[in-house]
Amino acid sequence: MIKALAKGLALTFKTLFRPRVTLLYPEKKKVMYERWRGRPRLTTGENNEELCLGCGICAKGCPAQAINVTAGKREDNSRFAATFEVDIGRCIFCGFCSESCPKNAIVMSHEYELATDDKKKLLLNKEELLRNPEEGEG
Amino acid sequence: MSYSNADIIASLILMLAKAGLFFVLYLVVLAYLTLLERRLLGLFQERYGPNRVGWQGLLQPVADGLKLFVKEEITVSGANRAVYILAPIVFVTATMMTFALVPFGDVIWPATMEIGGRMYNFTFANAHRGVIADVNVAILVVFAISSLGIYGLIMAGWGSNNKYALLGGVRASAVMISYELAASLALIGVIMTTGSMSLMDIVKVQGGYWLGFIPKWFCFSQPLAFVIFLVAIFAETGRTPFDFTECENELVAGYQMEYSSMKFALFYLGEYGHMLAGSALMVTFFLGGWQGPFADAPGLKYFLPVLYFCLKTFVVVFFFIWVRATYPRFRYDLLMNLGWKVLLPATLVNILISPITMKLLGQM
Repeated sequence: MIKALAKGLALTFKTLFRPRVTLLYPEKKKVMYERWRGRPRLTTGENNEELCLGCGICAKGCPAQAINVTAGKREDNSRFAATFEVDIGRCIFCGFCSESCPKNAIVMSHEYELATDDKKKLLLNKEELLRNPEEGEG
Repeated sequence: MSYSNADIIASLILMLAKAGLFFVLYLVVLAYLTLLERRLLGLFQERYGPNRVGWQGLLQPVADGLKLFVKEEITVSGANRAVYILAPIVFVTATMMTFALVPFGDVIWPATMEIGGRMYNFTFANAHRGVIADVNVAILVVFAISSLGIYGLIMAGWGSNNKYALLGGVRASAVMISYELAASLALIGVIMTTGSMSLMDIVKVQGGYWLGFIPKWFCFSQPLAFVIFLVAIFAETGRTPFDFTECENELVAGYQMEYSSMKFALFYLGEYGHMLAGSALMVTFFLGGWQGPFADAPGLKYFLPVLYFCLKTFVVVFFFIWVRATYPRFRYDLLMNLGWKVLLPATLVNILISPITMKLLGQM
């Protein structure tokens, strides 16, 4: 019995020298894996033009009905999204919008620090959606 | 030895300074002991303890104390007011009083000193020694005081006007009484070897070495008494694995249930104070007190023994926390079984074989 007691103490003593498993947030943030689904964001092409056509497939496919798109036409007859709104409060981060987009215009970024103190700020419009969190600019 | 009035006043001032300094240090150490326990428990569990409040969490006890200060001070309806309010005071005071008898150093002030052209003699009531009160029946006083601490628990349970608090208080005090018996009987071997009940003498006897390198501490010459006293101290202070009365994750806190704000803070600090007092007693009786190498070198003899005492107490406190991180809790009936049917006969066996080993080791 003494041996069992001593073995217990030795085990706990060994854990003193193991590294701690806690992540010291917010000084250190966890890097997510590549396909991790964070906030949806709109992409741009090579010349910084928006890829989104305003077709509305993402809005129809969203299970939470969080996306609102209205289409518009530019002077050179190309389609674009006149308004594009995503309600982050309704979004469930499933990625269906990204899977269904024909132009890969909407993808899931790795951003997760989306908390805010005003419910109206949860309704993201096109400029905010275009912001690329990895590069820090739209 | 005749003392002039000036000598008596000088010695009394020294004693007051000792007591005052100790009081302040005791409260600070107690507050930071809570932080040390939480950080060490975290270390044992591969996580950080509190490290956000101030650098490395050093302001955490301040934050905790402030929070407890500004909490609402509740007095339970139907509670016996005097008993309800006195209970934590009795509990904390009893643990603090134990420290007045523990020797933390050999000599901490020269016996005679010249101040302003006049020679003062500081030896009145042993004021220059490293103990606040040098009583020659100190062991009796120590156990009498800790019995008074048990009153604090019973008063807490009764004064709360709550059946479950009463039951919690009764169970906690039953445990403390049972293990106090084992603790005091385990010391009879120590008293026999020393020939005196004074704590200063017990520490002095533990000086010197066998074979040149094994110190003459009682943990080596009375190992059975050492183990019994260790287990008894764990149970008396209410630490895991004997802490069913206030296991914070099971009952809502037993006899402390109806206490809030500073009264609860006093109970909380009293528990850690009890642990500190238990460690200090363990160091005094079995680990050589303030003895250590070079304890009487001329320049160092005033503060090196104090350093040794503090280091040894810290090691015992670390052991307390280590055990808390390791073992599960005892069931109440197994606990009483251990106290009465295992430890008490073991102390009687120790009393039987102690004179034999003393004769063999040449101490008689």
